[in-house]
Amino acid sequence: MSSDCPPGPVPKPRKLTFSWWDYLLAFAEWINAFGNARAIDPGLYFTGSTPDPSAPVLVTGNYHLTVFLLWRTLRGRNVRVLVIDTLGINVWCSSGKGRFCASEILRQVHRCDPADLIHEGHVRLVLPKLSLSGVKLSELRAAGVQPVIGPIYRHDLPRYLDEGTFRDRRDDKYRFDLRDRLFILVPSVVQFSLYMAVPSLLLWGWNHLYPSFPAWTPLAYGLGLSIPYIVLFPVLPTRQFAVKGLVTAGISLAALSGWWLLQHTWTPWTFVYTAVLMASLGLWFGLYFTGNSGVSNYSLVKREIVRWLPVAALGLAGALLLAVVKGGLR
Amino acid sequence: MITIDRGRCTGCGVCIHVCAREVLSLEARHAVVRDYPACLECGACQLNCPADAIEVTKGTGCLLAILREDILKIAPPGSGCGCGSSSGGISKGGCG
Repeated sequence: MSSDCPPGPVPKPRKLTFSWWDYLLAFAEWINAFGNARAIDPGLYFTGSTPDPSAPVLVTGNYHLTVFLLWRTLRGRNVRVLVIDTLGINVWCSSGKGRFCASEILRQVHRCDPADLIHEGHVRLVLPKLSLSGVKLSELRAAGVQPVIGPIYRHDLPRYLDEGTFRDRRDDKYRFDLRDRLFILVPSVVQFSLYMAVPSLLLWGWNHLYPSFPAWTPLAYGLGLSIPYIVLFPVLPTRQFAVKGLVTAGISLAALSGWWLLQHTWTPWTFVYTAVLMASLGLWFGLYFTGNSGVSNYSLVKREIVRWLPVAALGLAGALLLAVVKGGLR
Repeated sequence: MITIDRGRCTGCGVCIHVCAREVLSLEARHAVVRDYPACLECGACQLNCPADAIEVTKGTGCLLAILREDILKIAPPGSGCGCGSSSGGISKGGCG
């Protein structure tokens, strides 16, 4: 391996540390605000007080939030972390794009002093299992690196490290359970709200000329749908994201209708507008959520998008048209 | 789609070990697709199969990516989701 080392000084391992500013940055990255994804300098880091040659070597991408969360998980442990250059993209996405790959890992390995990477006599690297869509394990083995399939979940790392056997986590499965869904709930809702602010603004503008339905309805109904959709995702019927959205919309509409009847504020106009708007928002959110879910099958999702996207667009346009007509009739 | 060439499959099981969704299993010393809807079509099995026996229609199962890459065709494969666009786009340089 040393024959591939580029000329120049070999960078020494650096201590992995984060400040209070990184907590703020990580929070902003988590809620998906400001498009502010930052990258960490690639290279070899250590989490203890000094580099420990007996410490295992974990590999990760250089998305700031990824490395920050890994650092928090590894606090109090002596671990070496090889951060590879994934252009500031998380492990799963960058491996899907071919950036988290064997050649990039080897490039970073060759930048290091081999002695800094040796673990129990080998250059043994623990890879996140979700990187394997980009990493060809045989390519690493051919280069003299011993790859180990590590856990999928960050919170499984401490127990994995405690076991000390460094066996492949062959049976690890991405579950998309409630914990996973709650983690993406806030960013999903924030991002979807930004999209739904557009029809709300259009309605707000129209209402200045001809008052019709409240401008907040697309935004509020979108928010109202997205939270139960994410929480109830596995129990909503069918595997189609869009149909799950329609079901959530139906349940929400039934609850709203009951409330209107009790309040005696129900009008046919309001009902038709709300039904059309809710149905289209349910479809929109379902289709939007394909990118955040982690369990979307490309071919099936593509088929769904072709089928349901025109319906969702027509529904939203229809709801806005109803508002225009109602305002004009006044 | 995911297809397995039974003639080429040696039953080594690597595809099963690298899969994060338990999509594949071994039957009569050959890999078979057990749960296709659970498949993410990430391509880990195809990439790591030593016998080149697996073919996957690899792609990003995301509205924005499919809209931009497959329907409107305004973004090259792997860059349509917007993930990482602030870094100047995705380069596959050296990664194959």
